[in-house]
Amino acid sequence: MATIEQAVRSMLTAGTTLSANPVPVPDERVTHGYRLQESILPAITYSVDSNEDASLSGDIKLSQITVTGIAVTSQDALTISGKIESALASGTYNSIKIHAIIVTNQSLEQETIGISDEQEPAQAVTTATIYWSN
Amino acid sequence: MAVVAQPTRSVIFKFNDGTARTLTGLIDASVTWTVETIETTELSSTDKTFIPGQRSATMQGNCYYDQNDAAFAALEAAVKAGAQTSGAPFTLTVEWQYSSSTLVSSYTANCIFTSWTVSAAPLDTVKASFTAQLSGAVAIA
Repeated sequence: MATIEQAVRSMLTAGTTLSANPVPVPDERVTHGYRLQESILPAITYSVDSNEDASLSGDIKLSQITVTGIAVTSQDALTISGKIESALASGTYNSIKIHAIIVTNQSLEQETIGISDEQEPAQAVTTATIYWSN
Repeated sequence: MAVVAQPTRSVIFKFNDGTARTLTGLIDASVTWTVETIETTELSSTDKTFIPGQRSATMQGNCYYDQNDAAFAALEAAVKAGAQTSGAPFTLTVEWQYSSSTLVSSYTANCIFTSWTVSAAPLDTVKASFTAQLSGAVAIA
């Protein structure tokens, strides 16, 4: 049986919402949990932060997810954030039916340029509540 | 045998409007039973006394709003109709199933739906809640 983590990745990579221009993020750069520090940008990480029953009959689950768009510039990170919001669409993924998705928060951590050649990329963080069932 | 805490595995409403239906997607459910009292205090007594009078019960439910679900749509229609086309009353059963055993408990009675609320709020799903006045005897199983 597929996990909700697998279903969320399938939802994010469905179609070409993320991989198309502008600021394309190929499917292989959509990863669960973390990305390697030296990996190519832009990229997206996601996590499923919690799972709980959302109905007495036990057939509807509720999960909190966090999806982070990472890019060299804030502008690109914000572009990815908009595409992430579009990619969060109800449907059936890996046999898991995602009924409803509610984006609860979006925030931006701007890029940081240090005194040497160090640079931290910008991150646009989207958190959402999803209702789903097997 | 002493009372033990029974973890909830599932709670469902079974609803009959001429067709037996099972309503899923419940968020909470409850049954409230009240018994009126009749005072029988004698004038010479300082301590009031009572005997049981008439009793009545209601069932309440709160669920996700989904008109695409046949059972839910039938429930919504039943609230509006008040009774079946034939004049027969609706029947409603609330059924508790426990994860620690195969035990199933239920209350069943004829009913009239007396309230229906659909609500929505930012960052939330659309929900519906209802109250049903139970009519006649309530079967406890």
